[in-house]
Amino acid sequence: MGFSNRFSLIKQLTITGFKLRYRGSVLGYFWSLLNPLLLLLTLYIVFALFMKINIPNYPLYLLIGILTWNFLSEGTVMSINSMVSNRELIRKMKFPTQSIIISSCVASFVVFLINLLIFFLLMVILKVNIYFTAVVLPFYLIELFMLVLGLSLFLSVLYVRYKDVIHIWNFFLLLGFWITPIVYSTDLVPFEYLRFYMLNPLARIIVDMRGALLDNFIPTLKNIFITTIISILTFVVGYVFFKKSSKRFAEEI
Amino acid sequence: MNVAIKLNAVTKNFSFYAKSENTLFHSFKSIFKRDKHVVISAIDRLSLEINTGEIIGIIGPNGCGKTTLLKIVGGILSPTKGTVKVMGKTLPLLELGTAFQESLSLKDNIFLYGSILGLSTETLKKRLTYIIDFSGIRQTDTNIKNFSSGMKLRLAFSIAKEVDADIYLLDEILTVGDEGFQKKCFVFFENLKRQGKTILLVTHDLSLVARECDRAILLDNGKLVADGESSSMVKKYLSIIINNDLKLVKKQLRVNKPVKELSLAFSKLRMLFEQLLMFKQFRNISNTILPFYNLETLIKNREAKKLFFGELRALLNFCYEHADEKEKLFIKNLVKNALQEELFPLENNEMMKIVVEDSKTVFDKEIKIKKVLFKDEMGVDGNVFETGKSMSIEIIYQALKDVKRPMFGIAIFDSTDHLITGPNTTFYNVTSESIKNSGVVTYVIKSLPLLKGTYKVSVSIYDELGSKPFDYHEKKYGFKAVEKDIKSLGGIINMDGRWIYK
Repeated sequence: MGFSNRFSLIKQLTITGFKLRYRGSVLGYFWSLLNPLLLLLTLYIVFALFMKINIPNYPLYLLIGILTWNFLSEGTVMSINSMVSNRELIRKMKFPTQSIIISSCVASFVVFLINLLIFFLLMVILKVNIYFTAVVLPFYLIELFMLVLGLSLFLSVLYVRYKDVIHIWNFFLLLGFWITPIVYSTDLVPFEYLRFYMLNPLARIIVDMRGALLDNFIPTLKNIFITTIISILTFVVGYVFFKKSSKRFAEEI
Repeated sequence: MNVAIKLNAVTKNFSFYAKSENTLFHSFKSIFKRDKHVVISAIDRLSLEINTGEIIGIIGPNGCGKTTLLKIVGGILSPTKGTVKVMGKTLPLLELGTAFQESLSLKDNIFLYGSILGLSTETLKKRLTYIIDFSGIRQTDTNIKNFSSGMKLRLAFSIAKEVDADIYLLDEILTVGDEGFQKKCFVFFENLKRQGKTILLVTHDLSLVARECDRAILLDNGKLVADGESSSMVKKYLSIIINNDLKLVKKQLRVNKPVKELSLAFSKLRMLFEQLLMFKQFRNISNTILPFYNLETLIKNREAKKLFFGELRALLNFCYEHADEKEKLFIKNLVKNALQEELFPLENNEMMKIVVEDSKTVFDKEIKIKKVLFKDEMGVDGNVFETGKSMSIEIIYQALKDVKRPMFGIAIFDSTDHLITGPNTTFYNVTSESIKNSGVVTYVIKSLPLLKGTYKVSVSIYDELGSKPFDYHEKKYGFKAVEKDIKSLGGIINMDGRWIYK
């Protein structure tokens, strides 16, 4: 299959995914926005009103974390699910299987981007300054995309081999939500644990992205270097692992 | 000649756990307790060379590895061992329309399925109207879930047709769908042939292979059994089927004695059947019969057996009606052989035109039906009887030899040829040990339950097992039933029931 045909395929699969998910209506999209917004509301009530966390611009602070996490969890879960729903296709047709995963990730990514627009809209409404440092955002978006795609590819291979991976991953997602600085700041993490805490690549990305968007903060070169390496590595390992294993998908799935 | 496909000692094994699906939990559990790991060899050391432009038929029993072979050549599966070399682009068409999304529109599905097949969006945009036209579908703005399976099939084919490949891998696609669709498939197939494309064709339709393929490959249990000129391969395959059957029969014999008759009969019937299927015009019928085409189900399942013989009878009659003189003779001989070898169970002989036509030469008349009389309660013979009154049917026979335990039988049909009842002496357990010279056997009906109408009667004399006919008069007789005391408004029988008020 040539490059342009592969591109067409990914495009078609993505469009199909969107149509199936949202049944072609704008309202459909709002349902998927409602989920993070409700989570935002709940967490805001609990942490800002009940527990009195004192972080400036806390709603926005919370939202960017939730949206980023949402992209990761949706992207990976949708990818695994797309392997399930395209089972017959994988068994009976010849086509680059990774396009299923890529299109799932692209679809989640597009939703993520639209949600970010809402985020900026909220910034304007709440009259929060948008700093010049926000220009690094696209860079983090690319990193995030590679990270999620690599993870999805990796998990999908595992899913083909072990059908209970989906349950285990759901558990990890729940756990991950709380060991990533989404609702709280890394200042709360005891110093002696911080080194381990920061092994989570998403923690670094969220901290840096949030700093750039809300605090006029430029990420350190060290952090940029680490997150870039981890993202690229995740993507490459995931892709190679997937490519190697996909030869046996038709019989194993 | 250029080599298009080259397989070198290809082996494909499938392995899975006997009891459960693969899960991490299961892997963990199996540290303590081992689950059986089953390995199935779908393809076993297969070496093969196919030249560009060859039309190859792949035949063999179910589960012999035909589809697996196509998947390996098409790159869907990769071999466990051995090497596969494929020159050029392959288009595997294993199951048409697998990728359709029920809740999407026709157009969306065309783009989706097309791009999975490797067509670019531009090509699809350009060919969109043509594809829809070709598929013959008019409702272009509804969801595909409202389409019939035939429509989906046609649509999928119309899209797949747009793909340009060098090697086409077709799995049963020429034999599915309605007649119009089959014709379209066929034109497509002929076009491919003309363009000199390489085609691998998997089908159960042996006549198609014999007719359309240059060469055929016979697989059994994943092994290459034979490879050569297609019609001789088809013959070889038929002999394998029969041999397999005989093996099964032998196995059955050890377990279950009464099965013997049926098993032998079946394997011979099957041979007869396969010979019939070689005629090209009977291709369509073969598809309807093949599913029942399994000895074991026939033995176990009475309904399947009935269906099988029913289908067979229909097939024979159909073939006979449509055959030319030479073929007619051929079929006649087949049937004669089948009859002489006692292949048909009693009730299925009855409606076979071929049998009736040739009855005189076929039956071994050790005992003959001389006359059949219908008598009323006064013992007066006639052919009009009153519903609810007594009636008897007398079979007057003439035996040329001593005949042991013959089975006398009658069968009564209504005007639309539905069998109403078919009593025989064995069923009533009134067989006499031996019969000499001539005599009369009477079937007495105390109260005729048949309502107003004309009825046909067949009379037969069989041997004690009911497998060999001595004499047989199909629907040669008849009588009329009239209503006097009983007045009905319709139906066939009067059930001698009562109404009760409480």
